[in-house]
Amino acid sequence: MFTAEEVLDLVEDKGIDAAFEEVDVVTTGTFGAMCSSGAFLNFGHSEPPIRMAEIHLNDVQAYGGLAAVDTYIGATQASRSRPTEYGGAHVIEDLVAGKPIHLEASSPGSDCYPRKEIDTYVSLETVNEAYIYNPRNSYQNYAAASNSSDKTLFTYMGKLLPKNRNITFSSAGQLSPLLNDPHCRTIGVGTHIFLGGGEGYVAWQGTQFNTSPAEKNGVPTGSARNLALIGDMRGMSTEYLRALNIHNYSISLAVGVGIPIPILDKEMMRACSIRDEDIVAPVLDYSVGSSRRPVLAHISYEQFRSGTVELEGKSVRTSSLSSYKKARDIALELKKWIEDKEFLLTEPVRSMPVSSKPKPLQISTKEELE
Amino acid sequence: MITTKKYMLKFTTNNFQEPISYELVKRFNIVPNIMQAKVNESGGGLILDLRGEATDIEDAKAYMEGLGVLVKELEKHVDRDESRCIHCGACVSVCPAKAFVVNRRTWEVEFKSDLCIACESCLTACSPRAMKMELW
Ligand code: SF4
Ligand code: SF4
Repeated sequence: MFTAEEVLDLVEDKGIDAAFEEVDVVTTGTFGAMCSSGAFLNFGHSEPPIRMAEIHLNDVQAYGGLAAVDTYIGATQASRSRPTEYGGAHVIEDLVAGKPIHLEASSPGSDCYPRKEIDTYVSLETVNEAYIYNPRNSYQNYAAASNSSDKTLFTYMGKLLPKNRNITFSSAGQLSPLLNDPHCRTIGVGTHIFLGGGEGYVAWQGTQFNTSPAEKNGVPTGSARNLALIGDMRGMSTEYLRALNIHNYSISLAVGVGIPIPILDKEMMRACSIRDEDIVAPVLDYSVGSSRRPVLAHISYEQFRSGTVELEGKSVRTSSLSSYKKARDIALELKKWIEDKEFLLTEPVRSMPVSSKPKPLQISTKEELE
Repeated sequence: MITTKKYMLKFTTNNFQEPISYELVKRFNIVPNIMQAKVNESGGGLILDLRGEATDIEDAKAYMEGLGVLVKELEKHVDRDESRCIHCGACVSVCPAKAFVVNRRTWEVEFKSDLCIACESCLTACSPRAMKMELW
């Protein structure tokens, strides 16, 4: 048992072949902002019962289009009264922390669900099911960001100083799950994972799953594959599930994900020995407000992590947006769970797509699509 | 004993013209180091370090208060809520004072508060809201 970081020394000392004989499983980890996250909750029925149509949790709107007392709360939903301060991610963090949550719901009322309003408090203890379902998490690599304009930009890639005075990046690099199994040979639907400090599973391919980015050293050089994840909120911890307020952008949720990778053969051993110096990401210019942003450079994570990189002849400071420390903590924790036999590896029940490329949204007329 | 203390001064339009820095140096043997200055129509504010004998600093404080200047010692101006810091590093590249240092062994982001010049740049970079302005 090794983490994806620990295994690097072993491979360097002994080579792939000998390392393969010694290693059964490599654990990976990542901890960063994952906007496409949220939680399903079931409140149980009140007396008299209500079919909740408009639902607010701590003043944050939750989805009212499911069955009577089921809801989904999305991480980026802003609260009505404090939209820049508090949102769905905070509700999720507060639930995991065991705090009481104010539930307000209303309904037109019906014969079988006569109640029209309810105002009460719930907690992780009082609700029935409570599980995280994140449609797009754990990105395999991600483009870094800079800003060539004259003013500071606040983006989902953080605070970008004018005139390319800093670069932000967001990947656990050599510790990142999908960079250690770049073609999803072992990670598939049903893979048992560490999620938010508790246990979860890979539920599906993530949205905008993309196998098309160019590869270098066997791994994609841009935002490529990602995973939809599911897991019980009970057992999760605010250490690994943390609400974020991304200034002038949105509320988001930092999610901790750890995936064990069984070393099936030497090829997997080689994949898990990927190093930050071999993983490259493009630096995009976020001053261009288009989905086709110019690429300013391609830079390795080893350079990003060193604190300064060369960009157009200048030395530029870098910031990691995801936490390498927490990624390492997660890989170590997962390793311990497996060693202590508290966590079993599963074989996937379905593979990830071999070829998939997200489509852009075209503005179309009804007739064009008929 | 020579010490350095950080202060926030608030002026009104009445005492704004007073040559305070000059007096601090001349009368109280204090070396002021201005880190931030703001001026508007209702007066202004300064954040500065005063370096000198502790007793001289006390006397200077009394002198400024006599002029109607609001004098507040800043223990920590911008502070970090350790329980919210996730050690990402988003703050590192936006801090002009290089007050954040990534420990390359533990990968923790260390905050050297004594280097902080209270510019507030990190407040909008830190999305877990660990960096906080301590209000006076
Ligand atoms: S940006 Fe905030 S959370 Fe991240 S390392 Fe800096 S102080 Fe900690
Ligand atoms: S307030 Fe300014 S100087 Fe102080 S830590 Fe934050 S960015 Fe650095």
